[in-house]
Amino acid sequence: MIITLCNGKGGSGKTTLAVLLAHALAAAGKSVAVRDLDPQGTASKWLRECGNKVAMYESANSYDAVFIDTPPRLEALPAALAPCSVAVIVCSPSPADLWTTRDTAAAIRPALPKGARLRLLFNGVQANTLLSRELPALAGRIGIKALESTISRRQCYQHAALLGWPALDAAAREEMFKAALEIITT
Amino acid sequence: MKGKTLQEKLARSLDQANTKEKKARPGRQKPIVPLPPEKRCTKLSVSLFDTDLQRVKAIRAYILEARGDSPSTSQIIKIALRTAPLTSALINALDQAAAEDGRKW
Repeated sequence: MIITLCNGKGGSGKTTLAVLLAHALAAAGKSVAVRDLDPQGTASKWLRECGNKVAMYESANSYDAVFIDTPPRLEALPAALAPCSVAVIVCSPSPADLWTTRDTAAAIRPALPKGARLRLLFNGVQANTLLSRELPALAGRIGIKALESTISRRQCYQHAALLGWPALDAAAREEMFKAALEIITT
Repeated sequence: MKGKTLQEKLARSLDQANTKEKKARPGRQKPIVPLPPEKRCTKLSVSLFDTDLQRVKAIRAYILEARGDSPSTSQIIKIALRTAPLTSALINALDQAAAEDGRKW
């Protein structure tokens, strides 16, 4: 299964989630790779430093799952979407990001291969805020199915760039497992 | 314990999704391998007189009755070539064919 994480806007958390979701599947015993299509190469550096059980995608080896991290440019998306089974737009819960997401979705839809799914994943959500409660309605307004799982704002996700998967506490790991499960199954 | 269960469910779901995906997507086409020389055919264009065509029909009717198969014209010509003995009868047939259309062979 190939999962492409994208958004036309930078800083939405694509790289962090590509690496951590890949680690969640690796922790479940699967062979997983991350393909870094972002010229900044953050995911590649991250995996070199503390990749643990996640491989850097180099060739068409047989992996159970591949996560593609994309640059924040809409022109770069068609190549990253061509092989994918699921395209996940990573979006922070702010109206400004949702406007960009609408453009991203419009660019993605024609490039999606037949049968591939498009999903929206909110990242950096603060629980029990007015905005967090409004998220399903906001997603509905731009016409993309949002995952029920959301990724909370947690310090340990920042630490993971230095320490890898072990930096995540139990609640953060569970959040990653649930998000990965929903991406695969819905 | 709960975390472990979630991981197992995740692993199982990924396997199921990959199996489903493999079934849904058409398999990679096998590369085209050139046929061995004994299986290659050369396409020819042949001219036959009405009498030859009658003979083709007769052979087809015979095989149809004997075997229940209706051979193609190519198959009938193959049969004729494989069963024709190399005798002076071939020369006589050639003379006869030449006389029919007036051409020199």
